[in-house]
Amino acid sequence: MSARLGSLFLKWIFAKGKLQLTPSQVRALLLTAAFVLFPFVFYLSWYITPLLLLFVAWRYFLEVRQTALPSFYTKLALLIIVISIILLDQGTLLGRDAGTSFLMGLLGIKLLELRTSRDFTVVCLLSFFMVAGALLFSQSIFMVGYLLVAIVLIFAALARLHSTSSDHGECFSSWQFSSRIFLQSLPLAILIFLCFPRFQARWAFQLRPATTGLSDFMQPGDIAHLATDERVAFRVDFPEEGKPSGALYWRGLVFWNTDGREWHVGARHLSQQKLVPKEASVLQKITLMPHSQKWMFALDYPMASPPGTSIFWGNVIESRTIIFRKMQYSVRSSIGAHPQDMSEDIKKKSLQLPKQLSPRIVQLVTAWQARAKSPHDIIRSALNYFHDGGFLYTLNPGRYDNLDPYGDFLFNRKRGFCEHFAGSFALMMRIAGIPSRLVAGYMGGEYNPYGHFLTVRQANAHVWTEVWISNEGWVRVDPTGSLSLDQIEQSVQNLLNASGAASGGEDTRDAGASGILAHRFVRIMHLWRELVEDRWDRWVLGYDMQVQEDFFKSLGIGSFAWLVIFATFGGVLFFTLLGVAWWLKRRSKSADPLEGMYRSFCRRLSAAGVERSLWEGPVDFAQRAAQSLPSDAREIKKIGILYAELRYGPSHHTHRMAEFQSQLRAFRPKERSHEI
Amino acid sequence: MVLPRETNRSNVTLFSCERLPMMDIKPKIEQALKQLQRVIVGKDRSLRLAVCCLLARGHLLIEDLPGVGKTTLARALARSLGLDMHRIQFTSDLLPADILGGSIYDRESQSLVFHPGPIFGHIVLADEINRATPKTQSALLESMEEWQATIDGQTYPLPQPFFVIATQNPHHLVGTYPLPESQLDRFLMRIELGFPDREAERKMLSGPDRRDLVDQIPSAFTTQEIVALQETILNIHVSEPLLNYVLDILEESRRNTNGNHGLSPRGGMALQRAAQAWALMEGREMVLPEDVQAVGPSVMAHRLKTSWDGSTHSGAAIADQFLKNIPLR
Repeated sequence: MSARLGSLFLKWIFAKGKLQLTPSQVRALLLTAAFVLFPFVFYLSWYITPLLLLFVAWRYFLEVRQTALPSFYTKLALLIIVISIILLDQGTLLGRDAGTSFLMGLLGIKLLELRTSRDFTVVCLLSFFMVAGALLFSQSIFMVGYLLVAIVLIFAALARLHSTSSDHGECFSSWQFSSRIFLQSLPLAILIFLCFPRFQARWAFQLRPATTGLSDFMQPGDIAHLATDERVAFRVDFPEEGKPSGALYWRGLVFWNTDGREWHVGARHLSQQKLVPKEASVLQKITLMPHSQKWMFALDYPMASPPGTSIFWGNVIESRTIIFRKMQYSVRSSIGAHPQDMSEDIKKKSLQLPKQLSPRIVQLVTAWQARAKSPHDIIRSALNYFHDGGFLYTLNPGRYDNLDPYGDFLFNRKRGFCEHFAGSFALMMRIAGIPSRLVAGYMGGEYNPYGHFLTVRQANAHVWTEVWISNEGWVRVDPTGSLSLDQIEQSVQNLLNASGAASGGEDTRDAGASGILAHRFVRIMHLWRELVEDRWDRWVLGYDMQVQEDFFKSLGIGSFAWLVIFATFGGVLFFTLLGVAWWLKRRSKSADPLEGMYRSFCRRLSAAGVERSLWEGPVDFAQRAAQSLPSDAREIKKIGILYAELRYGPSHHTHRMAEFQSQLRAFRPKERSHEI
Repeated sequence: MVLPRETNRSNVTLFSCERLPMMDIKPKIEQALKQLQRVIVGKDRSLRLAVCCLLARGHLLIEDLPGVGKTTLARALARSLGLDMHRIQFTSDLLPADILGGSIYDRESQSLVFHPGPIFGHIVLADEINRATPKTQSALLESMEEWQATIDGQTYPLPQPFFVIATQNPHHLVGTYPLPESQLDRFLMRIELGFPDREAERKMLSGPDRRDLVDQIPSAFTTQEIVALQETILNIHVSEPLLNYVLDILEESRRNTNGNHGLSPRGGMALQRAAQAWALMEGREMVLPEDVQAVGPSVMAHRLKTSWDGSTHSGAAIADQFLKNIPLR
């Protein structure tokens, strides 16, 4: 098999690639290219992939109709169009999206001039490149599975290029051939995956645009955008026991500053305070998807920061570096504790008010203050106001007045999402003199009973508030939680139902038995899919330097063995290269001088416009060349016949070598062939 | 009919002294071909291949429709090369004895006397070979391979040169026994004549009767000369690079077969021998790749694929593709 692969490879390298393609080969390659390009529909700008698929279809059409391929100028125009579209849209040709689009453009135009076997191999190489490129966009198990099929397809196309017959059975056999190669290479690939030394890259690709998830400032409407975003934010395992009961608040960041419209994180300060565990603590192992930010998530309230991170004011954990890669960390949280960190600075920050306050809000809060005996009363008044004031919890709160959004919300529109409720609540507490802050993070999550882990998605994003009550500490108040069910808009209820059923809740909707069954089935499939994705993330994508080292340690190979592994790989590489070099050298040596001279003759004719086909014999070739170049016909024929005699004749012809040499030395084509 | 004793194969070497000088061979063959071309109009390449096949001491299978000139070709060839020709029309009731001959009791000498069948000739035209039963076919095929005929336990050598031209109709296969691959392999070449073009057909229609023309062909060679030429072919030089080229072709035919048959070792020998004969006809002392390519499709096509598996004559297309896929090194 390796000999077979080797010969395929050598054909790539040494074949001059002038062989014409058969229509079935072209069709196979076009379908392969379309297959490889397809996944980019989901990741690149909407126009580029359909445009490329259009190119493929165009080429297919030309092949079916057996019409001439587009001219050089057409292709040039297309190239300019593609480049300008990309430049207009992206402003650059570099970077992940623009670069991939550009490469796709090149592939599409190459397809339009697909004629010879060399073009074919170039397209195959580009397709391999695209396969690697697709991994920059997604590394999910489904993508990888798709790409493996694509690889088999490309190999099948290559096998088809190099197979000799033009039969119908060929399609199947090239598939068979490439699948066999693929399966045979699989063990080696797995071995290399396990053993190849992994490096922690110092540089980091920004693989995912930073537009998802939370950001370090918040204005009303931000979180509502996330409500339908099904992307995974992080996954959680509970190594010690199952999922803790009660509401799960995953805190991420705390907003201290407000200008009446937006909330900001503001300056960060390291927290000195240590939490004293009040109740049972919960250990979480969190796999955080990269979000191009520093903050990390944990249940209320993290007790200590994992290595490489610190705890800041407001009991939030932050990584010291921006999180560009998937990250795993363990953190222990104390559920139900009330942090006691308070100082003059914190108090000042948590009472900060915007310069311009809406008089309506101040009026409302002073009315409550007048009646209240304790901060608890004020909080209760505010929550009651939300509960009884005709407020509606909705995904589509509409646009709010830019100058006084919270006043508009509290008195006029009364339609909002969690950030409206929490934002206005915190503002009112500050007006009433109760230190308060806004906490952003996620709430709840989907528990997978098969894999015993919790998936938290962007749709779980949530904002709530914390108020400082002396003697108690920071107390979490979630104004959204005080709403009654009929205050929640139907669309949101459906959304909540969907995630509620995930955490094991009973689905109480009226549906027929079959409907329930189908629904159950979909849920179970969904959970299994989650499980597969989680395992893939953990075992394949999460196989980094640390895991690898642990793996080898568990096999009894300590870290010193790295030296051995490096040496083995280096040695294998060295000896392979040595072997290739030796083989090449022998090859060039075994080519006798006669052949070299003939090759130079062919080169001169090629420069004059007459190319030798690989299979063409010397006399035939000389005959053809002489026809194309009539003024050199005599010399060409003479050289052709001399060469044929020297190469294929009995050895007593060798005395004619000198004649051949002198003829060849004198030979310079006088004209160029005008034939194409 | 009495067996001509001098055609015993062991005596062939006697004629090698009559070898023609290399210089004279090409003009002489060309002259013979020219005469043949006057009778068989517009079929230069098929004629050349037929002569090549005979010189390479192989047998020829012509696959074509009735009436395109198969018999005329065989007769003209026999006349031009100074050989005698027998024709056997194969039918489903033809028996081996009808081909080989048999012993008949002679009252005067009071003994069984062997009467040779039509197989004892230089050129044997086996017309519509696929109409006879396999048993009869195999009687002919033994003779083709062994240059001898076995009758009643007695083995008789065949005259030299011995050349079978078998024809078969690729269509109308009902009630026929198509030759199996193993027997197809015994034919050195398979050619198709095809319809002549308009110009050639005009000449045929306006010219004299073909049969008369055939009778007018002067013989360009003697039997001994033909045998000597056959001997000469063995001395046409096959260089190392050419041998590699032939080996490449064989290897390529066995790789990626995709349901076709690879070439047998006998096929390889046939290819080489035919190329040598072609080189001789070109007046060369050595074989060039061009010679292999010239005879290649005719030698390989029927060994790669039988023509009645749906795709007519795709063997030739495959052979052609082979040759274009194998780089000369």
